[in-house]
Amino acid sequence: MDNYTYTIPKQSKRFLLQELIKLRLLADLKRSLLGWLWLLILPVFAILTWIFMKGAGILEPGQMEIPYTAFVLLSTTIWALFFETYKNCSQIFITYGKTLLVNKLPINIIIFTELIVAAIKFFIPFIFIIAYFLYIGISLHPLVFIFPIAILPLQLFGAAIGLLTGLFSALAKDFTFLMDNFIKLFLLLSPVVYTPEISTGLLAKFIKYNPLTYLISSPRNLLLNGELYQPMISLICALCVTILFLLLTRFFVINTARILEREGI
Amino acid sequence: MNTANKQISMSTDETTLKPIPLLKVTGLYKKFCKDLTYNMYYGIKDLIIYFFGLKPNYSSLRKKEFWALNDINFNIYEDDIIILAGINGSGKTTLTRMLAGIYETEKGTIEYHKKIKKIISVFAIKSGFNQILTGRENIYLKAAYYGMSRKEVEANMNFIISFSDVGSFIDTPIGKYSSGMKTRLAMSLVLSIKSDILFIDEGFSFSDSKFKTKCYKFLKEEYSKKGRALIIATHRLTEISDLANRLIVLEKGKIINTTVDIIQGIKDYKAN
Repeated sequence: MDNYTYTIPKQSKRFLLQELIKLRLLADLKRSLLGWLWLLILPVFAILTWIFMKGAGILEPGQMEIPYTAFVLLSTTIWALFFETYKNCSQIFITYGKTLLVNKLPINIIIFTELIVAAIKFFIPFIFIIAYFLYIGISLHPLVFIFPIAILPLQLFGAAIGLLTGLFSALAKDFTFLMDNFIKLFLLLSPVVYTPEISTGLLAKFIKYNPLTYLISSPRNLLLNGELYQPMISLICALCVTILFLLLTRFFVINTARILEREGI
Repeated sequence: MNTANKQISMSTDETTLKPIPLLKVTGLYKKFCKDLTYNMYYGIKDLIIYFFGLKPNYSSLRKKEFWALNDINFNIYEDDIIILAGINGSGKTTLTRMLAGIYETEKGTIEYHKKIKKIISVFAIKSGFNQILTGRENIYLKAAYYGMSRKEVEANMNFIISFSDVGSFIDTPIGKYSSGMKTRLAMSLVLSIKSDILFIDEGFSFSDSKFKTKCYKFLKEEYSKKGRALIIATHRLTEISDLANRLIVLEKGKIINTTVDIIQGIKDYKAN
Protein backbone atom coordinates (compact mmCIF):
# COMPACT_ATOMS: atom_id res chain seq x y z
CA MET A 1 0.00 0.00 0.00
CA ASP A 2 1.28 3.37 -0.94
CA ASN A 3 0.43 6.74 0.44
CA TYR A 4 -2.32 8.03 -1.74
CA THR A 5 -1.34 10.70 -4.19
CA TYR A 6 -4.12 12.02 -6.32
CA THR A 7 -3.02 12.15 -9.92
CA ILE A 8 -5.46 13.37 -12.49
CA PRO A 9 -4.83 12.22 -16.08
CA LYS A 10 -3.51 14.89 -18.47
CA GLN A 11 -6.67 15.02 -20.58
CA SER A 12 -8.74 15.57 -17.41
CA LYS A 13 -6.43 18.43 -16.34
CA ARG A 14 -6.79 20.04 -19.77
CA PHE A 15 -10.57 19.66 -19.54
CA LEU A 16 -10.61 21.20 -16.06
CA LEU A 17 -8.49 24.11 -17.28
CA GLN A 18 -10.86 24.77 -20.21
CA GLU A 19 -13.94 24.61 -17.99
CA LEU A 20 -12.45 26.92 -15.35
CA ILE A 21 -11.37 29.50 -17.93
CA LYS A 22 -14.83 29.40 -19.52
CA LEU A 23 -16.44 29.81 -16.10
CA ARG A 24 -14.18 32.69 -15.03
CA LEU A 25 -14.74 34.63 -18.25
CA LEU A 26 -18.46 33.88 -18.42
CA ALA A 27 -19.14 34.59 -14.75
CA ASP A 28 -17.76 38.12 -15.08
CA LEU A 29 -19.38 39.01 -18.35
CA LYS A 30 -22.54 36.94 -18.88
CA ARG A 31 -24.65 39.08 -16.55
CA SER A 32 -23.49 42.31 -18.18
CA LEU A 33 -25.34 44.01 -21.04
CA LEU A 34 -22.16 45.36 -22.62
CA GLY A 35 -20.22 42.18 -21.80
CA TRP A 36 -16.81 42.05 -23.47
CA LEU A 37 -17.07 45.73 -24.48
CA TRP A 38 -16.09 46.62 -20.90
CA LEU A 39 -12.59 45.37 -21.68
CA LEU A 40 -12.32 48.27 -24.15
CA ILE A 41 -14.28 50.85 -22.17
CA LEU A 42 -12.41 50.51 -18.86
CA PRO A 43 -8.95 51.54 -20.21
CA VAL A 44 -10.51 54.70 -21.66
CA PHE A 45 -11.84 55.66 -18.21
CA ALA A 46 -8.43 54.91 -16.69
CA ILE A 47 -6.51 57.22 -19.01
CA LEU A 48 -8.94 60.14 -18.68
CA THR A 49 -7.65 60.84 -15.15
CA TRP A 50 -4.03 61.02 -16.27
CA ILE A 51 -4.79 63.13 -19.35
CA PHE A 52 -6.72 65.54 -17.13
CA MET A 53 -3.83 65.75 -14.63
CA LYS A 54 -1.32 66.40 -17.38
CA GLY A 55 -3.61 69.03 -18.97
CA ALA A 56 -3.95 70.77 -15.59
CA GLY A 57 -0.17 70.83 -15.22
CA ILE A 58 -0.17 68.60 -12.10
CA LEU A 59 1.75 65.86 -13.85
CA GLU A 60 4.94 66.30 -15.86
CA PRO A 61 5.53 62.96 -17.56
CA GLY A 62 8.83 63.91 -19.29
CA GLN A 63 9.93 63.77 -22.93
CA MET A 64 8.41 60.96 -24.96
CA GLU A 65 8.46 59.82 -28.57
CA ILE A 66 4.71 59.30 -28.82
CA PRO A 67 1.67 61.42 -27.80
CA TYR A 68 0.97 61.28 -24.04
CA THR A 69 -2.52 59.81 -24.63
CA ALA A 70 -0.98 56.88 -26.51
CA PHE A 71 1.78 56.49 -23.90
CA VAL A 72 -0.58 56.41 -20.95
CA LEU A 73 -3.02 54.13 -22.77
CA LEU A 74 -0.27 51.58 -23.39
CA SER A 75 1.27 51.92 -19.93
CA THR A 76 -1.95 51.63 -17.95
CA THR A 77 -2.92 48.57 -20.00
CA ILE A 78 0.46 46.98 -19.14
CA TRP A 79 -0.07 47.91 -15.47
CA ALA A 80 -3.57 46.40 -15.64
CA LEU A 81 -2.04 43.03 -16.54
CA PHE A 82 0.15 43.18 -13.43
CA PHE A 83 -2.73 44.32 -11.21
CA GLU A 84 -5.30 41.88 -12.64
CA THR A 85 -2.91 38.95 -12.18
CA TYR A 86 -2.10 40.07 -8.62
CA LYS A 87 -5.81 40.42 -7.82
CA ASN A 88 -6.79 37.08 -9.39
CA CYS A 89 -4.06 35.19 -7.53
CA SER A 90 -4.62 36.94 -4.21
CA GLN A 91 -8.33 36.04 -4.36
CA ILE A 92 -7.98 32.35 -5.18
CA PHE A 93 -9.39 31.34 -1.79
CA ILE A 94 -12.31 33.73 -2.25
CA THR A 95 -13.04 32.59 -5.79
CA TYR A 96 -12.46 28.87 -5.32
CA GLY A 97 -12.56 28.36 -1.53
CA LYS A 98 -15.94 26.61 -1.41
CA THR A 99 -15.13 24.52 -4.46
CA LEU A 100 -11.79 23.47 -3.01
CA LEU A 101 -13.46 22.40 0.24
CA VAL A 102 -15.63 19.87 -1.58
CA ASN A 103 -13.37 18.82 -4.45
CA LYS A 104 -9.75 17.77 -4.57
CA LEU A 105 -8.59 20.04 -7.41
CA PRO A 106 -5.02 20.46 -8.65
CA ILE A 107 -4.04 23.92 -7.38
CA ASN A 108 -1.48 24.51 -10.12
CA ILE A 109 -4.32 24.27 -12.67
CA ILE A 110 -6.20 26.96 -10.74
CA ILE A 111 -3.15 29.24 -10.68
CA PHE A 112 -2.63 28.63 -14.40
CA THR A 113 -6.31 29.45 -15.02
CA GLU A 114 -5.93 32.78 -13.26
CA LEU A 115 -2.82 33.64 -15.30
CA ILE A 116 -4.59 32.81 -18.57
CA VAL A 117 -7.74 34.74 -17.63
CA ALA A 118 -5.65 37.82 -16.79
CA ALA A 119 -3.71 37.42 -20.05
CA ILE A 120 -6.92 37.17 -22.12
CA LYS A 121 -8.29 40.28 -20.43
CA PHE A 122 -5.03 42.05 -21.25
CA PHE A 123 -4.60 40.99 -24.85
CA ILE A 124 -8.12 41.94 -26.03
CA PRO A 125 -7.70 45.69 -25.30
CA PHE A 126 -4.01 45.45 -26.24
CA ILE A 127 -4.87 44.38 -29.80
CA PHE A 128 -7.16 47.38 -30.09
CA ILE A 129 -4.39 49.65 -28.76
CA ILE A 130 -2.04 48.36 -31.45
CA ALA A 131 -4.71 49.04 -34.06
CA TYR A 132 -5.19 52.55 -32.62
CA PHE A 133 -1.41 53.22 -32.70
CA LEU A 134 -1.21 52.19 -36.34
CA TYR A 135 -4.27 54.33 -37.11
CA ILE A 136 -2.74 57.51 -35.61
CA GLY A 137 0.59 56.82 -37.32
CA ILE A 138 2.73 55.45 -34.47
CA SER A 139 5.05 52.88 -35.97
CA LEU A 140 5.75 49.76 -33.94
CA HIS A 141 9.05 47.94 -33.91
CA PRO A 142 9.09 44.52 -35.67
CA LEU A 143 10.00 42.95 -32.31
CA VAL A 144 6.36 43.51 -31.30
CA PHE A 145 5.96 39.76 -31.87
CA ILE A 146 8.13 38.90 -28.87
CA PHE A 147 6.19 41.35 -26.70
CA PRO A 148 4.21 38.51 -25.00
CA ILE A 149 7.50 36.98 -23.82
CA ALA A 150 8.85 40.34 -22.68
CA ILE A 151 5.75 41.06 -20.60
CA LEU A 152 5.58 37.59 -19.02
CA PRO A 153 7.97 38.41 -16.10
CA LEU A 154 5.69 41.31 -15.11
CA GLN A 155 2.73 38.95 -15.00
CA LEU A 156 4.71 36.36 -13.02
CA PHE A 157 5.69 39.07 -10.52
CA GLY A 158 2.01 40.00 -10.10
CA ALA A 159 1.16 36.33 -9.60
CA ALA A 160 3.96 35.80 -7.06
CA ILE A 161 2.87 38.76 -4.91
CA GLY A 162 -0.77 37.71 -5.33
CA LEU A 163 -0.13 34.12 -4.21
CA LEU A 164 1.75 35.19 -1.10
CA THR A 165 -0.91 37.77 -0.26
CA GLY A 166 -3.65 35.20 -0.93
CA LEU A 167 -2.21 32.69 1.52
CA PHE A 168 -1.84 35.15 4.36
CA SER A 169 -5.08 37.02 3.69
CA ALA A 170 -7.03 33.76 3.85
CA LEU A 171 -5.90 33.70 7.48
CA ALA A 172 -6.21 37.42 8.27
CA LYS A 173 -7.85 40.01 6.02
CA ASP A 174 -5.28 42.65 7.10
CA PHE A 175 -2.88 41.36 4.45
CA THR A 176 -5.37 42.11 1.64
CA PHE A 177 -5.95 45.67 2.87
CA LEU A 178 -2.23 46.21 3.29
CA MET A 179 -1.13 44.80 -0.05
CA ASP A 180 -3.96 46.29 -2.13
CA ASN A 181 -3.00 49.76 -0.91
CA PHE A 182 0.68 49.04 -1.27
CA ILE A 183 0.13 48.04 -4.92
CA LYS A 184 -1.89 51.21 -5.55
CA LEU A 185 0.99 53.23 -4.10
CA PHE A 186 3.39 51.42 -6.41
CA LEU A 187 1.38 52.62 -9.40
CA LEU A 188 2.66 56.10 -8.54
CA LEU A 189 6.15 54.94 -7.57
CA SER A 190 6.63 53.08 -10.86
CA PRO A 191 7.11 54.69 -14.27
CA VAL A 192 3.61 53.95 -15.53
CA VAL A 193 2.19 57.39 -16.25
CA TYR A 194 5.60 59.04 -16.61
CA THR A 195 8.93 57.96 -18.08
CA PRO A 196 11.67 56.59 -15.77
CA GLU A 197 14.06 59.37 -16.90
CA ILE A 198 12.15 62.28 -15.33
CA SER A 199 12.49 61.26 -11.70
CA THR A 200 14.70 63.14 -9.28
CA GLY A 201 15.57 62.94 -5.58
CA LEU A 202 13.87 60.26 -3.48
CA LEU A 203 11.58 59.17 -6.33
CA ALA A 204 14.66 58.49 -8.49
CA LYS A 205 15.97 56.12 -5.81
CA PHE A 206 12.61 54.37 -5.55
CA ILE A 207 12.47 53.94 -9.29
CA LYS A 208 16.04 52.70 -9.49
CA TYR A 209 15.47 49.91 -6.94
CA ASN A 210 11.88 49.13 -7.91
CA PRO A 211 11.74 45.95 -10.06
CA LEU A 212 8.53 47.18 -11.64
CA THR A 213 10.52 49.95 -13.35
CA TYR A 214 12.34 47.35 -15.45
CA LEU A 215 9.44 44.93 -15.81
CA ILE A 216 7.16 47.68 -17.17
CA SER A 217 9.63 49.83 -19.11
CA SER A 218 11.29 46.97 -20.97
CA PRO A 219 8.23 45.56 -22.77
CA ARG A 220 7.00 49.11 -23.42
CA ASN A 221 10.34 50.16 -24.94
CA LEU A 222 10.53 46.93 -26.90
CA LEU A 223 7.20 47.73 -28.49
CA LEU A 224 8.09 51.31 -29.34
CA ASN A 225 11.78 51.15 -30.29
CA GLY A 226 12.81 47.50 -30.12
CA GLU A 227 15.12 47.89 -27.09
CA LEU A 228 14.91 46.70 -23.49
CA TYR A 229 15.18 49.34 -20.76
CA GLN A 230 18.61 48.79 -19.13
CA PRO A 231 18.87 45.27 -20.64
CA MET A 232 21.15 43.63 -18.06
CA ILE A 233 19.12 44.76 -15.03
CA SER A 234 15.89 43.91 -16.84
CA LEU A 235 17.10 40.38 -17.56
CA ILE A 236 18.25 39.87 -13.97
CA CYS A 237 14.86 41.13 -12.75
CA ALA A 238 13.06 38.76 -15.14
CA LEU A 239 15.11 35.81 -13.90
CA CYS A 240 14.58 36.69 -10.24
CA VAL A 241 10.80 37.10 -10.53
CA THR A 242 10.53 33.82 -12.46
CA ILE A 243 12.35 31.99 -9.66
CA LEU A 244 10.24 33.81 -7.06
CA PHE A 245 7.07 32.81 -8.89
CA LEU A 246 8.10 29.14 -9.06
CA LEU A 247 9.01 29.06 -5.36
CA LEU A 248 5.82 30.79 -4.24
CA THR A 249 3.67 28.59 -6.48
CA ARG A 250 5.20 25.52 -4.83
CA PHE A 251 4.66 27.06 -1.39
CA PHE A 252 1.06 27.90 -2.27
CA VAL A 253 0.30 24.41 -3.61
CA ILE A 254 1.77 22.72 -0.52
CA ASN A 255 -0.11 24.93 1.92
CA THR A 256 -3.53 25.23 0.27
CA ALA A 257 -5.04 22.29 2.19
CA ARG A 258 -3.70 23.66 5.49
CA ILE A 259 -5.29 27.05 4.84
CA LEU A 260 -8.59 25.50 3.76
CA GLU A 261 -8.91 23.36 6.88
CA ARG A 262 -7.96 26.24 9.16
CA GLU A 263 -10.47 28.57 7.63
CA GLY A 264 -13.18 26.13 6.55
CA ILE A 265 -13.74 28.82 3.90
CA MET B 1 -20.88 1.42 25.33
CA ASN B 2 -17.70 0.57 27.19
CA THR B 3 -14.15 0.46 25.85
CA ALA B 4 -13.85 -3.32 26.01
CA ASN B 5 -16.90 -3.81 23.79
CA LYS B 6 -15.49 -1.34 21.32
CA GLN B 7 -12.23 -3.23 21.09
CA ILE B 8 -13.93 -6.61 20.74
CA SER B 9 -16.33 -5.49 18.05
CA MET B 10 -13.49 -3.77 16.18
CA SER B 11 -11.24 -6.83 16.24
CA THR B 12 -14.12 -9.13 15.29
CA ASP B 13 -14.92 -6.98 12.29
CA GLU B 14 -11.34 -6.73 11.18
CA THR B 15 -10.85 -10.51 11.26
CA THR B 16 -14.15 -11.54 9.69
CA LEU B 17 -14.07 -9.12 6.79
CA LYS B 18 -12.24 -9.73 3.54
CA PRO B 19 -8.49 -9.37 3.86
CA ILE B 20 -7.78 -6.89 1.03
CA PRO B 21 -8.11 -3.36 2.36
CA LEU B 22 -8.61 -0.69 -0.29
CA LEU B 23 -7.87 1.93 2.30
CA LYS B 24 -6.02 1.73 5.60
CA VAL B 25 -6.26 4.48 8.21
CA THR B 26 -3.73 4.35 11.04
CA GLY B 27 -3.37 6.67 14.04
CA LEU B 28 -5.06 9.59 12.31
CA TYR B 29 -5.34 12.90 14.14
CA LYS B 30 -6.65 16.34 13.18
CA LYS B 31 -6.78 19.38 15.38
CA PHE B 32 -8.64 22.65 14.96
CA CYS B 33 -8.75 25.88 16.89
CA LYS B 34 -12.05 27.14 18.30
CA ASP B 35 -11.01 30.76 18.75
CA LEU B 36 -10.83 33.03 15.69
CA THR B 37 -7.94 35.20 16.89
CA TYR B 38 -5.81 32.26 18.01
CA ASN B 39 -6.68 30.52 14.76
CA MET B 40 -5.30 33.46 12.77
CA TYR B 41 -2.23 33.67 14.97
CA TYR B 42 -1.43 29.93 14.73
CA GLY B 43 -2.15 29.96 11.00
CA ILE B 44 0.30 32.78 10.31
CA LYS B 45 2.88 31.33 12.70
CA ASP B 46 2.67 27.86 11.11
CA LEU B 47 2.81 29.30 7.60
CA ILE B 48 6.01 31.16 8.44
CA ILE B 49 7.48 27.94 9.92
CA TYR B 50 6.56 26.03 6.72
CA PHE B 51 8.03 28.88 4.64
CA PHE B 52 11.43 28.12 6.14
CA GLY B 53 11.06 24.41 5.38
CA LEU B 54 10.33 23.39 8.99
CA LYS B 55 7.33 21.59 10.48
CA PRO B 56 5.39 22.82 13.52
CA ASN B 57 4.85 20.33 16.37
CA TYR B 58 1.54 18.55 15.76
CA SER B 59 1.57 16.19 18.74
CA SER B 60 0.25 18.51 21.42
CA LEU B 61 -2.62 20.95 21.61
CA ARG B 62 -1.98 24.67 21.90
CA LYS B 63 -4.28 27.04 23.75
CA LYS B 64 -7.89 26.92 22.39
CA GLU B 65 -7.16 23.94 20.13
CA PHE B 66 -9.04 20.63 20.23
CA TRP B 67 -8.79 17.26 18.54
CA ALA B 68 -11.39 17.02 15.77
CA LEU B 69 -10.10 13.50 15.06
CA ASN B 70 -8.33 11.54 17.75
CA ASP B 71 -6.43 8.34 16.93
CA ILE B 72 -8.63 7.01 14.14
CA ASN B 73 -7.87 3.46 12.96
CA PHE B 74 -9.89 1.42 10.50
CA ASN B 75 -9.75 -0.31 7.12
CA ILE B 76 -12.05 -0.14 4.14
CA TYR B 77 -12.27 -3.36 2.15
CA GLU B 78 -13.43 -4.26 -1.33
CA ASP B 79 -17.26 -4.30 -1.63
CA ASP B 80 -17.63 -2.41 1.63
CA ILE B 81 -20.59 -0.08 1.98
CA ILE B 82 -20.00 1.76 5.22
CA ILE B 83 -22.26 4.09 7.16
CA LEU B 84 -20.33 6.74 9.04
CA ALA B 85 -22.57 7.89 11.87
CA GLY B 86 -22.26 10.44 14.63
CA ILE B 87 -23.89 13.58 15.93
CA ASN B 88 -23.02 16.98 14.46
CA GLY B 89 -19.43 17.87 15.31
CA SER B 90 -18.39 14.26 15.85
CA GLY B 91 -15.83 14.45 13.04
CA LYS B 92 -17.64 12.76 10.10
CA THR B 93 -17.01 15.52 7.57
CA THR B 94 -13.45 16.12 8.77
CA LEU B 95 -12.68 12.41 8.41
CA THR B 96 -14.31 12.21 4.98
CA ARG B 97 -12.38 15.28 3.80
CA MET B 98 -9.13 13.76 5.03
CA LEU B 99 -9.85 10.45 3.29
CA ALA B 100 -10.66 12.34 0.10
CA GLY B 101 -7.36 14.22 0.32
CA ILE B 102 -8.95 17.65 0.77
CA TYR B 103 -7.45 18.14 4.23
CA GLU B 104 -3.79 17.57 4.93
CA THR B 105 -2.68 14.49 6.89
CA GLU B 106 -0.32 15.91 9.54
CA LYS B 107 -0.30 13.01 12.00
CA GLY B 108 -1.15 9.41 11.14
CA THR B 109 -1.41 7.73 7.76
CA ILE B 110 -4.03 7.14 5.10
CA GLU B 111 -2.89 4.46 2.70
CA TYR B 112 -4.65 3.42 -0.48
CA HIS B 113 -4.26 0.20 -2.42
CA LYS B 114 -2.32 0.59 -5.64
CA LYS B 115 -5.33 -0.50 -7.69
CA ILE B 116 -7.21 2.66 -6.67
CA LYS B 117 -7.36 4.95 -9.66
CA LYS B 118 -10.33 7.14 -8.96
CA ILE B 119 -11.82 8.51 -5.77
CA ILE B 120 -14.87 10.72 -5.75
CA SER B 121 -16.04 12.67 -2.75
CA VAL B 122 -19.41 14.35 -2.57
CA PHE B 123 -20.10 17.04 0.00
CA ALA B 124 -23.26 19.14 -0.20
CA ILE B 125 -24.59 17.51 -3.34
CA LYS B 126 -25.83 20.67 -5.09
CA SER B 127 -22.71 22.76 -4.48
CA GLY B 128 -20.56 23.73 -7.45
CA PHE B 129 -23.48 24.45 -9.76
CA ASN B 130 -23.35 27.81 -11.49
CA GLN B 131 -26.80 29.38 -11.74
CA ILE B 132 -26.25 31.09 -15.10
CA LEU B 133 -24.99 27.98 -16.86
CA THR B 134 -27.36 25.39 -18.30
CA GLY B 135 -27.76 21.91 -16.85
CA ARG B 136 -25.55 20.48 -19.58
CA GLU B 137 -22.84 23.14 -19.08
CA ASN B 138 -22.95 22.48 -15.34
CA ILE B 139 -22.48 18.76 -15.92
CA TYR B 140 -19.28 19.53 -17.84
CA LEU B 141 -18.10 21.87 -15.08
CA LYS B 142 -18.81 19.51 -12.17
CA ALA B 143 -17.45 16.54 -14.09
CA ALA B 144 -14.21 18.48 -14.55
CA TYR B 145 -14.14 19.03 -10.76
CA TYR B 146 -14.49 15.27 -10.31
CA GLY B 147 -11.45 14.66 -12.54
CA MET B 148 -13.30 13.40 -15.59
CA SER B 149 -12.25 14.04 -19.18
CA ARG B 150 -14.52 15.54 -21.85
CA LYS B 151 -14.77 12.12 -23.53
CA GLU B 152 -15.94 10.46 -20.32
CA VAL B 153 -18.61 13.13 -19.78
CA GLU B 154 -19.87 12.80 -23.32
CA ALA B 155 -20.03 9.02 -22.96
CA ASN B 156 -22.04 9.40 -19.73
CA MET B 157 -24.31 12.25 -20.84
CA ASN B 158 -27.28 10.10 -21.92
CA PHE B 159 -27.19 8.16 -18.66
CA ILE B 160 -27.08 11.41 -16.64
CA ILE B 161 -30.01 12.97 -18.50
CA SER B 162 -32.10 9.83 -18.33
CA PHE B 163 -31.28 8.93 -14.68
CA SER B 164 -31.94 12.48 -13.49
CA ASP B 165 -35.14 12.69 -15.52
CA VAL B 166 -34.60 16.39 -16.30
CA GLY B 167 -35.49 15.82 -19.95
CA SER B 168 -35.62 18.94 -22.12
CA PHE B 169 -34.58 21.13 -19.15
CA ILE B 170 -31.00 19.97 -19.66
CA ASP B 171 -30.32 23.06 -21.81
CA THR B 172 -32.07 25.49 -19.45
CA PRO B 173 -30.03 27.64 -17.01
CA ILE B 174 -29.84 25.76 -13.73
CA GLY B 175 -31.09 28.81 -11.85
CA LYS B 176 -34.52 27.94 -13.29
CA TYR B 177 -34.41 24.38 -11.88
CA SER B 178 -36.31 23.30 -8.79
CA SER B 179 -34.22 22.18 -5.84
CA GLY B 180 -35.17 18.55 -6.54
CA MET B 181 -34.09 18.78 -10.18
CA LYS B 182 -30.68 20.15 -9.17
CA THR B 183 -30.24 17.32 -6.68
CA ARG B 184 -31.25 14.69 -9.24
CA LEU B 185 -28.84 16.09 -11.81
CA ALA B 186 -25.96 16.30 -9.33
CA MET B 187 -26.55 12.78 -8.00
CA SER B 188 -26.90 11.32 -11.51
CA LEU B 189 -23.53 12.78 -12.44
CA VAL B 190 -21.92 11.23 -9.35
CA LEU B 191 -23.51 7.86 -10.05
CA SER B 192 -22.33 7.94 -13.66
CA ILE B 193 -18.68 7.96 -12.56
CA LYS B 194 -16.94 4.63 -12.14
CA SER B 195 -14.98 5.44 -8.99
CA ASP B 196 -13.08 2.88 -6.92
CA ILE B 197 -14.07 4.58 -3.68
CA LEU B 198 -17.00 6.95 -3.34
CA PHE B 199 -17.46 9.17 -0.28
CA ILE B 200 -20.86 10.77 0.19
CA ASP B 201 -21.28 13.25 3.04
CA GLU B 202 -24.96 13.96 3.69
CA GLY B 203 -25.77 13.47 0.03
CA PHE B 204 -29.23 12.06 0.67
CA SER B 205 -30.73 14.85 2.73
CA PHE B 206 -33.40 15.48 0.09
CA SER B 207 -37.03 14.47 0.25
CA ASP B 208 -37.69 12.76 -3.12
CA SER B 209 -38.08 9.22 -1.76
CA LYS B 210 -38.68 7.67 -5.20
CA PHE B 211 -35.41 9.03 -6.56
CA LYS B 212 -33.63 8.12 -3.35
CA THR B 213 -34.73 4.48 -3.64
CA LYS B 214 -33.52 4.46 -7.24
CA CYS B 215 -30.11 5.79 -6.09
CA TYR B 216 -29.78 3.26 -3.25
CA LYS B 217 -30.57 0.39 -5.64
CA PHE B 218 -28.00 1.66 -8.14
CA LEU B 219 -25.34 2.14 -5.44
CA LYS B 220 -25.91 -1.35 -4.04
CA GLU B 221 -25.41 -2.88 -7.50
CA GLU B 222 -22.32 -0.83 -8.26
CA TYR B 223 -20.51 -0.93 -4.94
CA SER B 224 -21.38 -4.18 -3.18
CA LYS B 225 -19.91 -6.68 -5.63
CA LYS B 226 -17.52 -5.03 -8.07
CA GLY B 227 -14.46 -4.60 -5.86
CA ARG B 228 -15.23 -0.99 -5.00
CA ALA B 229 -16.22 0.72 -1.76
CA LEU B 230 -18.78 3.29 -0.68
CA ILE B 231 -18.69 5.38 2.50
CA ILE B 232 -21.78 7.37 3.44
CA ALA B 233 -21.65 9.90 6.28
CA THR B 234 -25.24 10.48 7.32
CA HIS B 235 -27.82 11.00 10.04
CA ARG B 236 -30.42 8.98 8.09
CA LEU B 237 -29.28 5.64 9.41
CA THR B 238 -32.46 3.58 9.17
CA GLU B 239 -33.03 4.68 5.58
CA ILE B 240 -29.76 3.17 4.37
CA SER B 241 -29.41 0.28 6.78
CA ASP B 242 -30.28 -2.24 4.03
CA LEU B 243 -27.59 -0.80 1.77
CA ALA B 244 -24.61 -1.02 4.13
CA ASN B 245 -22.55 -3.92 5.45
CA ARG B 246 -20.76 -1.99 8.19
CA LEU B 247 -21.38 0.85 10.60
CA ILE B 248 -18.74 3.12 12.10
CA VAL B 249 -19.82 5.48 14.85
CA LEU B 250 -17.84 8.59 15.72
CA GLU B 251 -18.09 10.66 18.87
CA LYS B 252 -15.95 13.71 19.67
CA GLY B 253 -13.43 12.69 17.02
CA LYS B 254 -13.05 9.08 18.19
CA ILE B 255 -14.44 5.84 16.82
CA ILE B 256 -16.70 4.49 19.55
CA ASN B 257 -18.15 1.55 17.65
CA THR B 258 -17.58 -0.36 14.44
CA THR B 259 -19.82 -3.30 13.65
CA VAL B 260 -21.23 -5.47 10.86
CA ASP B 261 -24.50 -5.83 12.76
CA ILE B 262 -26.04 -2.68 11.34
CA ILE B 263 -29.46 -3.00 13.00
CA GLN B 264 -27.99 -3.55 16.46
CA GLY B 265 -25.39 -0.84 15.83
CA ILE B 266 -28.09 1.69 14.95
CA LYS B 267 -30.10 0.66 18.05
CA ASP B 268 -27.02 1.15 20.26
CA TYR B 269 -26.25 4.49 18.62
CA LYS B 270 -29.79 5.78 19.15
CA ALA B 271 -29.86 4.48 22.72
CA ASN B 272 -26.72 6.45 23.56
